[in-house]
Amino acid sequence: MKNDKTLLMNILAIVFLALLAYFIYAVATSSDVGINLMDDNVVENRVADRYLNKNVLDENSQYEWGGKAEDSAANIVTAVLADYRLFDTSLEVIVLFVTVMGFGLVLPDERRKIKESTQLLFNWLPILMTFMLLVGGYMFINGHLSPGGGFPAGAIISTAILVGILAGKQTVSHHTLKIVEAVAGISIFSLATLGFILKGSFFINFLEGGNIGDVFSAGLIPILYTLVAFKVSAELSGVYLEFYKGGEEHDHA
Amino acid sequence: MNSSLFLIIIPLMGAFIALFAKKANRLMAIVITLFMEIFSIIIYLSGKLPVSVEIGGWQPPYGINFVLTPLSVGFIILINLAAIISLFIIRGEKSYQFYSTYLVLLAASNGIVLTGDIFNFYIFSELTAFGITALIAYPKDRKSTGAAIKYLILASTAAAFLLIGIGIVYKTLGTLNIADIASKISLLDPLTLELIIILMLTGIFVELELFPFNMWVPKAYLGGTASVNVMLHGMLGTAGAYTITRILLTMFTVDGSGLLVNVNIANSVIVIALLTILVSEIAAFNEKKIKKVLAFSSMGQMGLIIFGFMIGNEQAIVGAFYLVVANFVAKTILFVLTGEFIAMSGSGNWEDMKGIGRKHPVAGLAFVIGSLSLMGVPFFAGFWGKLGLIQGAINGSAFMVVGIVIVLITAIIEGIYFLKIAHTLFLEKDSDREYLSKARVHSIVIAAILALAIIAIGVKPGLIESNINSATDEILNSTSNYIDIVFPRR
Repeated sequence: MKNDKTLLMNILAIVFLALLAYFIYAVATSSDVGINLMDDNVVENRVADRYLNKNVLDENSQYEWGGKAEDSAANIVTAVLADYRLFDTSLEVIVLFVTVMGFGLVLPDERRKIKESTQLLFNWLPILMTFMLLVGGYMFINGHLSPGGGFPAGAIISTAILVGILAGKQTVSHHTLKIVEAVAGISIFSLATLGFILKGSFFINFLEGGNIGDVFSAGLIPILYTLVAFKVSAELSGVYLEFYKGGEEHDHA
Repeated sequence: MNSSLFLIIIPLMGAFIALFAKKANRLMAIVITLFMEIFSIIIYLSGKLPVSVEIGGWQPPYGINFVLTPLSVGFIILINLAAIISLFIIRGEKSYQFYSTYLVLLAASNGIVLTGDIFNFYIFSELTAFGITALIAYPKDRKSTGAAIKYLILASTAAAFLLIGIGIVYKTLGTLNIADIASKISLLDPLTLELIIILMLTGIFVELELFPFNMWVPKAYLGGTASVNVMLHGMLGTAGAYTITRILLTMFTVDGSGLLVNVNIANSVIVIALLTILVSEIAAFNEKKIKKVLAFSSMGQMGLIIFGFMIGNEQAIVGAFYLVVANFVAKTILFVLTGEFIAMSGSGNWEDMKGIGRKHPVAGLAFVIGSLSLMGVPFFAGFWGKLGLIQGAINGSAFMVVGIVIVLITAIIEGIYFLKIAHTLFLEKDSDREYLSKARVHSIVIAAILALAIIAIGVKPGLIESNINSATDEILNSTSNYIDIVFPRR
């Protein structure tokens, strides 16, 4: 009986999806007046145009290697993420924070023990971890110049800690992770508030920019990315530790 | 008005401090929430509204902005009030996870209302979804974990639809600012516009507890504790009602007149809202668990509110706003008191609550006042809402008359089941009954004050009339009241 019901639901779902697909096809091929889903829009009509030329505030400002602009991150994606739409990015960090917290609540109580692995992995661990931490560090320090940034860097650093756990070694305690998480989080929002105190607007990039392409450029962005990287790595490592004994820490004060 | 961002930043910083606050975290949460409420009232009374706040120093549509209007600030006052009440009725939640998540939820539900950017709205709604999932799962038993996972799956699927909708808007119009989208919506191809509206509606209907998307509601209310119920209803429900005014009635309207661009979709939303009312009231009628009764009634009220907003003429929208306030106050009373009653009788069924009204007459009376307001009896706040709704529907098309009939029939059904509960509370005696615990005084005081507010609004609707009229005006003339505020130079 239950199988009949599931079959019916599956058929309904497929019919629904087919209808949706047909509808999207009709939308895509529609020839009414107005901007269509498939139209190639002129870039001048989009907000992205101003992001690309870095002339949101000042018409004369332009993107030129080695020059100065309103936002001096060489990487345009970083400029949008960590400057034009910094507010969204800092909230994205909170999404991860609250997900990890909820994860601890939904997870069942049985946890594994951290077991010693083979000698091979154990001996190679320091070398592996060094390289992973190096790549992660490079990612967030260089985030305003080349692809990368706080989120991927945090993920890479946390994998270093995961490798440690797999090799049978818990390199950081849950408490340290919590402290890192809180300090990084509070710092991000303190910097945002500092912008309000200094320049009258929250989440403003209040440091002097420097030249596009320099390591020391883009004002606050490298600092923010460093904080984001630490926070993301602490949160993701927290998820890995949740699975193991000794990693859990729920204070029922 | 740049300082209005403290409404987001302070609770978020509090969420991190709560990781270490140990026993002080409840006190800290209360202080922060009180600050939020007082700050939002100050903003409301400052006389600087409406105003658009640029974040990060980039002007809209390039940067993100907050739009503070009488409508949005009025809604955050309600949301923060629900937050305070939910903190006061907490029973034994002490760990840092609870308070940290709560503070994130508080920031996010304020953000949903204040933001003027559709992608920013998406992130805030994601935050509320994850926050409330964690809070529902907090008791860590089978029931609450199941409810949380069910909600999580539905909410994330819905969020995916919302995100695709936002993506299509960005592809076609090249902007994410709500005011900018609203002013450019006539440039779109009608079919593409239809697709966008359908995708976005699917995204927000889960949170609005509308009929085919609301399987999560009863379980979530049943699984969560009383304070989480108040959050779910007072914070998320209120923010959801705001969403409909902003996304449907500001973004996708004909020249900012409060009427949806696509008549077919408007009618389908009305059909869905009416179905929600019918299905939920019938489901509530046979329900034995009191929290489920309230959950179903909560869906029904949400359906009523959306029905009012979608009719789209002045009386109906005024009625819908009265309903938002009345439903907010009345349901909060009921959830606060149910929490107490369940703790006293040790059972979730209302049939086991015989004679509690006799033991605590104030609580019992407040419960009855709340239910009478939900039914829409004259001299209670809900009456003005249902009156406005019916007046608006009479002036609408013939199709709306069906709506009137459904509203009236369900009011009777609602009346029957709420009076059955009231009858059990007061008239049935169970004299040798031993109660597990005593009702807490502050819960009863909160309920009594809210009950007085219901009667005050019910007898003298003029108390909030000017606020509701300005909110209605904002929806009916959103070009001058919303778009021109964000883009004064156009």
